[in-house]
Amino acid sequence: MNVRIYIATTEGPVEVQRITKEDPDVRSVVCVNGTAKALPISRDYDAFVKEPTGVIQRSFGHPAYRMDVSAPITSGNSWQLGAFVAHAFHAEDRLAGPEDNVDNALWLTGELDRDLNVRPVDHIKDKLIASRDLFTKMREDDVRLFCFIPGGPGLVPEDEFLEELTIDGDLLRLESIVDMHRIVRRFDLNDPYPIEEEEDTEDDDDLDEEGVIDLYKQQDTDAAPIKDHSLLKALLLAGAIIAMLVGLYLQFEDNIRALRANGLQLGISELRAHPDTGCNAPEKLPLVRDGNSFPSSALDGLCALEITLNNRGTPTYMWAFAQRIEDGHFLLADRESLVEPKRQKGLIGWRIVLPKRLNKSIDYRLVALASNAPLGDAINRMLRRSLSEEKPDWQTLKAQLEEEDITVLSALHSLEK
Amino acid sequence: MIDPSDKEAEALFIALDTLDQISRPDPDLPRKIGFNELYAYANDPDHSPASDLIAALSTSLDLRRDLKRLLDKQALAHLPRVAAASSGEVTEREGDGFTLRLKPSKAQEDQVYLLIQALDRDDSPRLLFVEDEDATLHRLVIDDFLEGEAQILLNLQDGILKALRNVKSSVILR
Repeated sequence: MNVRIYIATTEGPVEVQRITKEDPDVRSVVCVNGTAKALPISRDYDAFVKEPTGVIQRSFGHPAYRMDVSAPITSGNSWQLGAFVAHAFHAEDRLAGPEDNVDNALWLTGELDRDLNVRPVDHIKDKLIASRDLFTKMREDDVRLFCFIPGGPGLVPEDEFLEELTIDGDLLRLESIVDMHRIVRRFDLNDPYPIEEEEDTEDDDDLDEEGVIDLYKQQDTDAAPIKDHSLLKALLLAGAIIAMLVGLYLQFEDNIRALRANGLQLGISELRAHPDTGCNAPEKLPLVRDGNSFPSSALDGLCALEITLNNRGTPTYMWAFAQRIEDGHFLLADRESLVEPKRQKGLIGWRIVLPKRLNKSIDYRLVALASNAPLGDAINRMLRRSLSEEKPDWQTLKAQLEEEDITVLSALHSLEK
Repeated sequence: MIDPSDKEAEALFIALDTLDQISRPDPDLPRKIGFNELYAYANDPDHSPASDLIAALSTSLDLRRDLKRLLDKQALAHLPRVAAASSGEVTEREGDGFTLRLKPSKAQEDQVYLLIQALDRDDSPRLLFVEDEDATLHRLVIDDFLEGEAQILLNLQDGILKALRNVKSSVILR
């Protein structure tokens, strides 16, 4: 199925209707709706296409194109990311035209440098607001829309803003990216910078039929869950002192949900191969959360992931799992803390060792639960309900958990080949 | 920068235009096109010609001759009639250090790229006139001549494209 591309502007989303190779003697142009009027950005587009300054010719092998769009793009360079992605889909004959039906669409803003790094741009919130009608239309048409914006401090709008725009991480998803590779991998595009694959002929039992790792499956070789006892002890000690001063009643607070909303923090760290010691003593790289998602993790050089829960409130019952976006399959469910429930606080982590070779990227939702009561029964009910559904619906699951006075935190993350 | 001869010509045309207005006998008669307006049409790419100027140019041979004299006097380049071929359509012209080429669009079959290139000159033309075989003058604004070249998309049905393709037409760059 083809993919529709929208270039975000402050005047509203601009659809890339068509890309056509032109005679190499002419300059590349951007026109509106097939008319003969070249947009003022055409000069910049030509420079973006043609070598030595351009990246399109280098990646797709032709020096002159005509790009027809649905509305004017007046100035700036934030169209570059969308234009490049449109070319990438066009190169594989997967760029949707105005009359095509699509399942997926991309909404993009960002400037690209020579190395296909995505540079920061202005007015991201204005562009999102200007696209509100498109978001509604996509949802009505059941089209999954991926919004890609540059990563960096202050660029990702706050959660409340995204919620207002109904950016929920499911049908409408916002991601910040630092380069083109993430999009290339996610949509199985030919990489404009082919990376030499390492030969690995070992059998990989961690891969399922689709070549997707099933993180739910517990392996004998998996590292045991990490328990950061020193930090936990320190926090417990501090907590005990505070408890002596303010009393222990908080531990029995009925409405623990309010406490958890501020006191429970979900985190992910990459454990990457050290240049000298490899995965035996990997480097730990915490990921900084962008809105409702974490930056995706490239599998190249990745030894493991560490999922962490930091409970800065009163000790409570906690559990974490992951759910694959594609089919709702539960990916991670360490059940130790369910079988032997106990109240916990401080930093608690689980390490997920990854297989050496994956054939497909994985998008998943990471979910943390906290409750004033042991979670085992509620989890069992959730799993039983999910077994009867072909694709468990996240919103339904979340609502059912919250009905049982369970605080639910979630974030999106991707493992990318 | 305006050439001194341009300044003198402009002053002359303004004076003549003023004289035209003063000596106009009857306000109810069709407005007579002044030299000042004709001068702007010939030299100023930002000038939007009034409808009566366009109408007058199509009906008045004298006015077309005045415009042609004005253009001949101030042209950056003349690209004369194509001598090599006596039939068929012109796709390329060259003269006074400029080339014009016509390239059909592969994306839109009903559109054609006009490529204007300075070969050995630093001048930047801002207007292109094509004089047809019946002395009709077609005008095209060149709003994007940079680094020695410009590219303009034309529709197949545009009169100026038909004129550019006509072997019996000539081109003036201003």
